[in-house]
Amino acid sequence: MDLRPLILAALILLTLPAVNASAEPVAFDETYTLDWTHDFGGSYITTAPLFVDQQLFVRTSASWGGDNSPTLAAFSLDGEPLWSHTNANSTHHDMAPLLHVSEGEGSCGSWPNMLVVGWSDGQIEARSTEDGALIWAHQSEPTIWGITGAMAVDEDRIVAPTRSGVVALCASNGVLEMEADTGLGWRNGVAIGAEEYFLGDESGVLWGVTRDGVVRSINLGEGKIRHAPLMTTAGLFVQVQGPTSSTVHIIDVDGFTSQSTLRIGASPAVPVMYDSFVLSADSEAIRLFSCAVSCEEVNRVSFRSNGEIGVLGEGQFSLPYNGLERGWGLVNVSSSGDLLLETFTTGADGYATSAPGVLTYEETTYLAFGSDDSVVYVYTSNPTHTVENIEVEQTEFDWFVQGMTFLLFLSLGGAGVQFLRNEGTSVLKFLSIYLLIIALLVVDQVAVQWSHFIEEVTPDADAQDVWDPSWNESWQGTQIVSITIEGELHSVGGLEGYTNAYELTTAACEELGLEIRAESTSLGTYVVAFDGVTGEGWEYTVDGRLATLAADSAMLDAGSIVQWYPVEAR
Amino acid sequence: MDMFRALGTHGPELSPTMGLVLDVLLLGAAFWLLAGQNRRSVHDVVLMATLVLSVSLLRVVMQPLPNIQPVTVACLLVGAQLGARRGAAFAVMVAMLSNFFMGDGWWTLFQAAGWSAVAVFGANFSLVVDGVYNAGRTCLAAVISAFLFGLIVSFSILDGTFGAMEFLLYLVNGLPFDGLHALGNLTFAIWFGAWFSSLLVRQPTIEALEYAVMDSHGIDA
Repeated sequence: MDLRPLILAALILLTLPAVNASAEPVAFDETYTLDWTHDFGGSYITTAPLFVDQQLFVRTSASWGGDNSPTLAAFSLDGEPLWSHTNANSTHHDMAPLLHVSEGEGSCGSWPNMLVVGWSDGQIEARSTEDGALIWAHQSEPTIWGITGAMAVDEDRIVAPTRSGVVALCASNGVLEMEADTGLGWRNGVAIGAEEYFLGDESGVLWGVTRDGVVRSINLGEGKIRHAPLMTTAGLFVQVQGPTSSTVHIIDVDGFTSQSTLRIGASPAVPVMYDSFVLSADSEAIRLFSCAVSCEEVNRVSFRSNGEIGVLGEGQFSLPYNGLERGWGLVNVSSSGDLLLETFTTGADGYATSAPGVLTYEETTYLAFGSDDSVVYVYTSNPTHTVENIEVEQTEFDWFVQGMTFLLFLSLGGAGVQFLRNEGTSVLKFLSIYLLIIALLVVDQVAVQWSHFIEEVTPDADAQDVWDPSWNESWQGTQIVSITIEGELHSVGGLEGYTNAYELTTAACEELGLEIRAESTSLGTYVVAFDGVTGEGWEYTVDGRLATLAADSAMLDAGSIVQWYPVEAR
Repeated sequence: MDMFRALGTHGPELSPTMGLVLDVLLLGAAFWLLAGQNRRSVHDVVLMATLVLSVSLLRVVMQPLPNIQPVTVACLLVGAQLGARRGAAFAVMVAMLSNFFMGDGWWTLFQAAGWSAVAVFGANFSLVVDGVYNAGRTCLAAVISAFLFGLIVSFSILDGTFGAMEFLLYLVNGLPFDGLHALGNLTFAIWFGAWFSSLLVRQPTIEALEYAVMDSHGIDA
């Protein structure tokens, strides 16, 4: 039997993933058209419009000098105003996301389909989605502000982060079932855990509160926790916002300890989960973290977004650019962790922080964008497209990857043709190119993993061997960084919880007031300069051993000593 | 004078004087290797110059691809066809010329030594026996050459601060890139080995041809 056709078919099958990857993308502008708008006049929209059934709910905030009172308004899908409610007492930032609660019943009674709204005056209201009628209300104690974070549903309870704590209210009648004091919070959403509620505060403290109000906490260092912690399989994902950069902590829920930390940029957005990934953003980039067993940043793309991230569909997200330049980002995350960004513009561009609302109804997808000028823009998909059809287009054409893909096709096709011609040597020729291209594409990652493996199997050096007598004795057992710049030694110790050399060095530079400049490459992040000094390059040791990995790939222990030298000083 | 100004990841950074000394040394070595008792024909000289120029250019052009080194297979085959001396001279000149564009330094010495070793290896590995090119042995030699070259070039890192264990770790860490070098060599050998080898087959001079004809016909000159 002649097996050649069969093998050729197998070779063609191998090319299918690449065919899919090179499919013609359908851009946002080709898919959506502006259907209607509504101008609330003189206020702001700072939290996502919400579609429930065939209605759109929008809340506004009047806290930045606007004339109008903050409003909760309902619209039909074609833009007809249905009902609205204003709260003239709420005079501060109204950015608690709207919470839809489907009708149900529990131990404290039953409730209809309702919308729960938290106001900056401390009021928590449940309103009918049908006509906006008040079902129940609970007044929490405001301290300048009241409710600004995301609320959550815990079976028959509405759990809300108040300004100074957390409350659990009966979903049926709003009766207070649990109240606990934590720290002063702002935009500090609450997460529902198996045993506890979790929320952070403005002092960098993460709180765990059991259903009956028993409180425990962990101080994650100077900073502000301004989102609901995410329950990943690796642990609680918590961002602590610092003045110039922020830190992600992965918290072991059982021990309530920080297992690892990751550095991110300033003013992080409210992160969202997708399978085992976490998507976040900050003033530097949109970042994708893989949090299956431990959390690590697996991809990033340059962007600036500091508010909410909207989930449009499976692996598809949208978030506003916090500036005038780039409108909105449409992000596709593949199951393998690829991150593709397309930017598009709507009328709602410019310093927006609210995520878009999304609804798919009778094969039409509705997207509602709230602007910083208090106008809501509703786009609908063209009949031939649904949201699933949107493919994103990379903002930059990668000639190297495209060229390599072309050569892969060519070499595989050549091998197939030569095989059919019974030209064994020529088959080898084309296959050798195929293998070489694949090797070129993966060598960076293989090299990094290989170096990790080498590090793991080689015995650790003893940190005591590199202890400098001039260091403070209290630094013993903690993480220490020393940097020799133009002959002058800069050292800082007493650092804790940093998992890689780059994070630790960045933190040390902040403590020491040194400027650090780094370069991101496919092999990792390399430090280019300290305080503007580049020299012949910089290298570092971990516990006295010259590092062979990029700084962000070098894993540290609790007592690791990282020492930086200019190359010429070695 | 401080001839070795500083120590770097590739070894000492060279002062201009030391750079000049190194270049003179390398050129001298190449000259010594090429200068033999036999007078070179114009053909030999042009062939060598063309090879050096074209292979150097190829190296510069392929610089963006990490550790894809067309020079290694070229040295292997030049050594096999033209002998160890001319192979080593070729290696030295290619290293010097290509590094003139890619960056000269202490490492040039080790790259020249590495490729010279590959040329000597090619001359002694029976890649061409009785004028017949052996593709299988060439492929095997191409793979081995990658690791031989990697080892020799790695010696450039030794500056007195590296212990044996650290040097071993340095070598082991570089294995993925040595593997890529080997795969690149294999591809070059499969695609261009036979063709390149045929280019290098010794072309007899006119005098040698006349001598051969006269000798075979028994004509008394």
